[in-house]
Amino acid sequence: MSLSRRIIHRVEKFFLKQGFNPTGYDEELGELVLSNGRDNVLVKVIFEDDADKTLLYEELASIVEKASEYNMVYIAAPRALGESVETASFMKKGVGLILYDDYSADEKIPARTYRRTLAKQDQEVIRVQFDEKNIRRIEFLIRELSERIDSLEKAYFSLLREVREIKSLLEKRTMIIEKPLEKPPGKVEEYVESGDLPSFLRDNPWIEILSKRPEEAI
Amino acid sequence: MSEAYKRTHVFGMDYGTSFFKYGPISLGETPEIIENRGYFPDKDAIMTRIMGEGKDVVVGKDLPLYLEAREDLPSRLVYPFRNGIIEKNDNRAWQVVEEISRMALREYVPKEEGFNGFYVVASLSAVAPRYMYEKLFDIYRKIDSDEHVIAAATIIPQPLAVAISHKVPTSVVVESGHGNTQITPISRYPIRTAIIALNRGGGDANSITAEILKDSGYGDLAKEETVVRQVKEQIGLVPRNLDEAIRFGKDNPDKLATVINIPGTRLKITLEDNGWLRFLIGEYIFNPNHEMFQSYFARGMPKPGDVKVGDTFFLGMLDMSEAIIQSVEKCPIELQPYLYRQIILSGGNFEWKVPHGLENICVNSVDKIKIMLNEKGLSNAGVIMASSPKYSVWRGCIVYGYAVPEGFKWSWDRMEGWMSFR
Repeated sequence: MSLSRRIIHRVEKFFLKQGFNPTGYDEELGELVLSNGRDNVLVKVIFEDDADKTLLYEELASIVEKASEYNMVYIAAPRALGESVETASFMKKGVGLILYDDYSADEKIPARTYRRTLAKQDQEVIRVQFDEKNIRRIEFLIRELSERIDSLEKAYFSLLREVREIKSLLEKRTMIIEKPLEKPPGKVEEYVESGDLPSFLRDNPWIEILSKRPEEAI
Repeated sequence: MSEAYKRTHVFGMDYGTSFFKYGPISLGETPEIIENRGYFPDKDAIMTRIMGEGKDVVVGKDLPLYLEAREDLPSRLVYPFRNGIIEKNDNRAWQVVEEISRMALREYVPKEEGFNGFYVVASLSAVAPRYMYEKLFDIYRKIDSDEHVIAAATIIPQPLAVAISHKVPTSVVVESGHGNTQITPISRYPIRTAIIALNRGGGDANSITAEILKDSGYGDLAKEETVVRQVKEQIGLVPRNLDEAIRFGKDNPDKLATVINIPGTRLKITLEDNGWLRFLIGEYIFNPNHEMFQSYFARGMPKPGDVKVGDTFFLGMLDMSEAIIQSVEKCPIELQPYLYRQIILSGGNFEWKVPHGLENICVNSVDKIKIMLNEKGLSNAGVIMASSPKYSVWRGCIVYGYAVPEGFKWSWDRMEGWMSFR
């Protein structure tokens, strides 16, 4: 394993303890990217070979430009160099400082955490997606309500029809029941058998005349 | 179906000008009776909306409960048979006929098993044109199709029904209703070619009663037909001789003065010095040609005119005895004496009272016709009043249905028999 690789490993190890996993490493630029699923961290590693304060401050200025793309940014520097830097410059810029040596790496200055707002275009995409999702949900609810109203209407009309039929039956029954109370109709069979026909039927010569109508018609 | 079934399921329907009489044979002597009318409620009225879906037309005893504004009554309250004849395209009148017929049948549908419909015998005016028969059969067909309550139906002229109920095979039936009067000679069959119709009836007596009310200071009441009819029934008198009666009335105003109460209301109508006008009401029915009536015609009271309805001429001013004579004289000469022997007066328009103390001045309808015929040389005419005139047509219907065999199918040539719809 090369020296630079070992240094990267130590830095990674520090972040692993913080819940971050490496997601990328640009060997040429010495930039390590880590993520815990919510926040992304960029760590610019300054190797011992070319380490001096000037470089460190240059890297500080450089990494600030990239800070807008990440939630936290760090510079990892050799312990010997890092012990002597002014912490105020780092803290002012919100950039964290990791110091490493041959054995370990630890945090000297914590980085400020930025809750990054999404790019306007992305926000628009997400809003559209959110709106579409909401519209789909509302459409589903409307469809469901419409179906329920349909079924309620069917039930209502069915009940209405039944009520009308029942009312009609009741009216008929009421009439049939009431009629005998006020005037019980006699049974014609009884009239005929007993000869107790209504007066206008008794000894009426028309009965014979009319009963012969079919014969007269021939 | 058997003859026995038919006999026990005869159903009479008499479509009178004012009243509809109906019911099955099992009712015995008297039918149900309701006013022959229908009311078309205002479907847009707020109360109709509140009360929910209403009927298009209301008929029957509960009809007064549906009546709305008084000014709407003439257009919404329909008396379909007011003049005995319904115009072919008078849809509202036919709608009332359907509803009232349907209601009548429903009222008596038995719950018994094996019920397969009534044998309906309907009765129409003697001058009803053929299309009325067709329309009525169509209505019965529709009702049976909807409710399966009519096994068969037939239609007979009202005068024939009257003759049947009076057990008289040879007679002249004078049927006088609200709108007109029909004189029908009958000899086992109605002699249709001898029928004479007068365009005069109880409605005309109402008209002159309304004029009398106006003259007596009750012009506002004269607009309400029911009030006018009740007044007519309470004060109308038939004079033995109009001239003598008027003289008597003017000399004895106290004997003819009267106070009329309209039942169920606070209305009181007083006739004092004008009491003699009461004679005009009855006379007008029998003979509207007296000069006394000319002043009323001159003041705008409609004069009964000659009109043609269908194929029938309704004569307006012919006096009643002359109409009877003209009708009888259209029959064979040998038959005429038998016809004059039995003249049956039927219909509510012949129901006139003779108040106590006025017997020398007033007569009933029978005596009036006898006097009028006697004046024309027919001294031995037999005139009788139909017993129970309100019910006689219905009774004739029941006898007809009872006697005519079930297998005798309807013939449009003979206008008799049973029309079956199944």
